[in-house]
Amino acid sequence: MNQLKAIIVDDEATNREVLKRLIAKFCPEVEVVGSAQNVMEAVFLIRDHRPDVVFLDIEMPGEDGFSLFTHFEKPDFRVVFTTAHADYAIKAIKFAALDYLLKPVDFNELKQAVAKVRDSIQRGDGNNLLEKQINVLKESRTADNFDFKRIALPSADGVEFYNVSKILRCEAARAYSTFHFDDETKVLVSKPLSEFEKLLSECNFIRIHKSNMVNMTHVVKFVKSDGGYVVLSDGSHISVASRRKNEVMQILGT
Amino acid sequence: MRLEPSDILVVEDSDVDFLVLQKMLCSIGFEKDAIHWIKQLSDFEFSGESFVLCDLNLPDSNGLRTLKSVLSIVGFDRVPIIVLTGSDDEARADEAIKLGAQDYLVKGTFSQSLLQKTLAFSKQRSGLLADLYKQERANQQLGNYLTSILSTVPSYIIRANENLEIEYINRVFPMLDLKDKTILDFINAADRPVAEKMIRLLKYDDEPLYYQTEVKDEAGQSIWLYSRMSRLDDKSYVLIATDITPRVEARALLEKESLKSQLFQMQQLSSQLNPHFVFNAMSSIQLSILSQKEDESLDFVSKFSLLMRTVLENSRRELLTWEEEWSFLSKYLDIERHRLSGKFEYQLASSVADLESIHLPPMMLQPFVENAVVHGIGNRTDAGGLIQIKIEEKGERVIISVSDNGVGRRRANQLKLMRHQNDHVSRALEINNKRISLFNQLYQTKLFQVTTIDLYENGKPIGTSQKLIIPKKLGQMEPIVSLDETILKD
Repeated sequence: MNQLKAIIVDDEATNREVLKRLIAKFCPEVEVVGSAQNVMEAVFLIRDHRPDVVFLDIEMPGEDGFSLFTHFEKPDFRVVFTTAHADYAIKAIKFAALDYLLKPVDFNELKQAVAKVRDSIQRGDGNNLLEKQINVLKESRTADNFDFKRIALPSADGVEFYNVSKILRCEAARAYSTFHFDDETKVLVSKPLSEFEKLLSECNFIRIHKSNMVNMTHVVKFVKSDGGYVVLSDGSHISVASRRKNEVMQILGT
Repeated sequence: MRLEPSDILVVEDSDVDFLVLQKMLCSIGFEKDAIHWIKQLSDFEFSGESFVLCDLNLPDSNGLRTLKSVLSIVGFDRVPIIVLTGSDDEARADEAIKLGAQDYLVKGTFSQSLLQKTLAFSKQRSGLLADLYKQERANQQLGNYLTSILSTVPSYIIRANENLEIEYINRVFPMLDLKDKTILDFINAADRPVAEKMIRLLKYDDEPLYYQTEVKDEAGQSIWLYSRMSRLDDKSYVLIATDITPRVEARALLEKESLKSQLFQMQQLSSQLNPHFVFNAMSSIQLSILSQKEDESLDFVSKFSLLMRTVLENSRRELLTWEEEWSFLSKYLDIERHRLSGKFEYQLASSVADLESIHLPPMMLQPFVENAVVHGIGNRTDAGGLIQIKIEEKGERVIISVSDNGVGRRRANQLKLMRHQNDHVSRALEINNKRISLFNQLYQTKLFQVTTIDLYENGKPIGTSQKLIIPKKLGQMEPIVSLDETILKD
């Protein structure tokens, strides 16, 4: 396989230099063809060099990293976000099943991220996929906050996108999770429930039991008898762990 | 004995017994419609009838249990309950009366006149009983009322003449000879000039004066009085003062505890460096290592460790010396300067004669400096940034100002909005403001203050100046509660 062409976007010289050197040392198959210190510079570099991958910092003065995609509606490059500490931004990235690196960058994670980019290119994930992912990212962004409406779930051939409001609950099955939807369909995802717990807690989901996380907007009522359970909008009964009961009752206001 | 026509509730399972009873009741003046009949306890429903006639043996309940149930619904002192029994059961009838029935009738043996008499006397007795209960309740209420009055009875009643000299006091006040004192001695020294005017006004106004005041006894102990002063007649005043010392002390203690816990909480919150700063510093160290600059890497690690150590220790310190604070701030600025590739310089200027004596609470200047770096200098697009830290004295105060020649507050805020930036800095500044007001309480002063000034030159913003104002003698001041003593030494 050919060398991967990469562009680094970061407002801080230190961070650009660190990433460049880490790539040179640990990912010889990647060639850094340029680095930019803001989004506008990045736009020109990308048009000139047509990179395979862009390492994109989120927090920059002026336009932030996310706004790069207002210039590329159908990007033909992969993106790996880099961020020091931005809780919501990371969540937005996860909802879109995009990849990111935390700064200071761990070279093992860097290697994995590069491997994923390579896999994706080899698999031939089209521009459509990235376009969709970027759309999820964009729509989660409101004027001054994040509001997550769709989630990308990994599937056998890439990722699929689902409306969060249509998910009734997620059920744990060892290292897998089953998503139950309001049209009675199910989706099995090869990631443990814990992967989604923090993410979906942004969307009114609560882990009411070791094996179930429910969308509280789909909870019809809470029944105290039989050890306590909730009734979901599809009529299913999901038991509530005793230490979660108070929390559930509080949210339901009962 | 005459019986007022009224309604009656009959609980009786036997049809025959009921019909007999009904006939008798009608003949002594009851309307047929006013006789309500219930056949079993589960149907029992009381709707305010004047009498209840009750057979104890019902299909679903028998004996005294029936009576207890009926009593619990009807109540003891309102409506007479007359028990209907069989001829063999008079012993139980006595029990029933002890429980609260007014009387009993043995079925098949009573005449119309006995029925009439029984009902009439029952009515009378239950009326008397109700009055008795009412009286008892009233007594109890009166008792409660008296107790509550007694608890607010004034400790001292003082009469003073028109010159405010004390002429009478109901009991010894634990203060020096009252003969030389005036009524003003029962008012805080600081409030006396105002009080004197108010008392003079009392001559023209009948509204009494209420106030809370602290007086000292012989031993110098505080006694808190809640007082009501009014004019007795043209020539005298009366002061009624209640000793509320225990209440005031309890409240003061509560306030101290709450102050302590708020201070502690704020100190914990302020003792956190911005995660961005920490991670950026780590990236800088990473770069030094990758560039194989051994000395620089080591220097960086030392600086960073010192910084981290100071932050960890700061959360347990009440005050720092200026030297400690500056050592911390300069390391912080060095690291930021390195990260921003020398985009700015910093200067310290002091006009304080005795710099060693200056003390300040930990982590109060750091947010200012961080704000100057991140929002002031960080938003400059060129090099040539300058952060000036000036420390000067002014009367009782020390003013420490942090000025930058950055983009100014307005521009910085615009940029912040555009960037969805995490607002660690503004949160830290908010915590700072809260701490300032807590410190003013802690040291019973108004000397602590923070201000921010936008700097302009020819109408153009040329940066921001932030000031921390603290008492000059903070190191010698006595806080009303000490953090050191308690929580910080866990």
